[in-house]
Amino acid sequence: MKEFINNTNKKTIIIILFLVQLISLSFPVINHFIILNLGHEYLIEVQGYDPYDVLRGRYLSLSVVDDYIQLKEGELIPDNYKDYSKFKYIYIVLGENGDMGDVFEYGTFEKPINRDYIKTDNWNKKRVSEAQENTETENIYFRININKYYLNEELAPILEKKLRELEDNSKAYVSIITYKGNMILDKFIINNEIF
Amino acid sequence: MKTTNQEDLKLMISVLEEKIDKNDNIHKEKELLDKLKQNLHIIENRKNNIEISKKSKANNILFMIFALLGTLFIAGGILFLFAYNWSHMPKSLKIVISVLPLIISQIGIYFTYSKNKSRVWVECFSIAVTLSVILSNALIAQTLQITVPVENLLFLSILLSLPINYLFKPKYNTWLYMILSIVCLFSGLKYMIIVGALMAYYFYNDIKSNKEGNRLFKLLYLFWIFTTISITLDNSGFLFPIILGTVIILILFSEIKLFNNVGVFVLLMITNILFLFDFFDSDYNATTVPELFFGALILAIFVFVVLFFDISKNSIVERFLVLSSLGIILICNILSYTNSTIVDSKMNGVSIFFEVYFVALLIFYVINNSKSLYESRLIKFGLLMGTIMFALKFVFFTEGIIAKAIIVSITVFYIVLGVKKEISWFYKFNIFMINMLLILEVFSSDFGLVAKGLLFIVMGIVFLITNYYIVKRERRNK
Repeated sequence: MKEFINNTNKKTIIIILFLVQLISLSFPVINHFIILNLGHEYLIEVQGYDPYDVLRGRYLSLSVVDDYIQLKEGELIPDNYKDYSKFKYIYIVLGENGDMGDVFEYGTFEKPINRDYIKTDNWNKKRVSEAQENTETENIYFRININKYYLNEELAPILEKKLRELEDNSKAYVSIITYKGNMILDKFIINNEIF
Repeated sequence: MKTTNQEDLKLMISVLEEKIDKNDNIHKEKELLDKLKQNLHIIENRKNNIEISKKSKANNILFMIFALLGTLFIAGGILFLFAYNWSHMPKSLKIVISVLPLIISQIGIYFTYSKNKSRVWVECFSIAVTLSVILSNALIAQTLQITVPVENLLFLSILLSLPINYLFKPKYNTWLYMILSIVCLFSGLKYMIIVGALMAYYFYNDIKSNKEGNRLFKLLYLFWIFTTISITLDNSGFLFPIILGTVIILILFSEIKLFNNVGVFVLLMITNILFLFDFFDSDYNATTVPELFFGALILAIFVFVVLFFDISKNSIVERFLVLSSLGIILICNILSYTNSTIVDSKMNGVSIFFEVYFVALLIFYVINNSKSLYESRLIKFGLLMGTIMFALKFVFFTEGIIAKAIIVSITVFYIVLGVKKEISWFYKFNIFMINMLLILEVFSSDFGLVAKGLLFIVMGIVFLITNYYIVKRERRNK
């Protein structure tokens, strides 16, 4: 080990290390711009408040308003679903909803064709009441990466105030762009203002 | 021993000189006298050299502290500055800016190495590389709205900068990793990978040859074992009393001579841990009369001792000072304890770490230093740990302005005293402590990120410039 790391090698290793660091940093950047350029945009309704991240500054902590959906008709979840790899990921299919923002239409365990979707492994079977037990569709809770939106320090408290004081007919949205199951957060929209 | 030789020689020389004065014909005595004078000269020279090397060693450590603090402050400042989030900048520009600190620090370490610069700069740039990787990761995540948890960002950054440790063996960077790994502590595997990677390095390279590496390895090993056991088993906290009991038994069965120092250390740790666990259920008000009274009383004793005893010659007084400062920290701990509900909500996650870490250190010291425990090193260590816990606690959980004022005044006092009496650990430790207090205070305060960033950068530059001038003055003096 010591013989390998001699003086000449050390300089080379420093340069290689630097390149590795740069490459690893460039992965999320490349991924981001691929999705941004090739993906489709959807507006999802959200709610939230404004905390603080030590490394990344102020952000809005967001949660999706409708975080449970019905499973595709005919698909059923077995009781011991966590034992099967088929049920590890769920595909949340997105649909347009006109002026009212867009919606999560349904969830499925088969990769959708010709539809936009978000892939997630963070999901759970929703308990149903006795009255609902005999229905043919099943409901699930899911979580996707719509949970933080980093903001300018001065803007964050203003937006939090706006979020708290939202009137009944106005809503807050995030614009997400999806491409092959991956998504990025692009904009935050409140009272028709884009941030 | 050396002093006795010197004095004996002086006595013999004077006796011989008297004899020679009385009788001019004694040649043998004259030769002997010359030899003795030569010996005396050699001994005096050696003594001077030892003193000079001790002094320059202390100065080197001071340069290191100043340079490290400069680096840390500048990196922290940049982080604050960009955490502000300059939303009017285009994404691509923000990404380029994010990578700049990394490029600068990598160029820095490359040239430091190729131009064979001093150890101080290797240590500084190693820390700069680690921090700049974290910085770049954080800024890119902020710009691209990547919402991964902070611990994942830190884990990735530590892994990406870890080879620097393998290349240059920077001691302080290892400590930085250990501190940062605490953030990953509760995600189990990530934490174990970091500490394991650090351990592997010391195991293969330094354990046999390097004393410092050996010590760090043992520390890391215990740190790893105890935290692993604790995370796995200790959800209800039952492991802690068992470990503590074992330690106390170990102490009781060790030499009685050791009992005092270890006892103080254990007392300090138990008290701190008890406070951290919120065993005391009552609320203390931080700015009451008892606080003022206790603070003033202890300061008075402190000043009295320093004024009336020459501590550089008297090790007992030095120990008394250390013990009294332990007492001050303990009392400040009690006094600064304000709102138990805040402690409840914030300490749950961190408490396991504290409990296990300090008990691990205790056992480590008892096992490894059983022969040298009587020296005040352990107490110095206890003092440092107690202060760190206190600093953490008073920044996050208290509003006690007077408690803060007491601790800051004591720290400044120690720095001045350390510089005056040339006791290096006094100012070393207290410069570290005052900066820690300051950093934590700034982190928890409510003023803007840009202001915080600029403040940190200015402080960093001040430290580096001061270091530059001290080094220059030192060279001129030589």
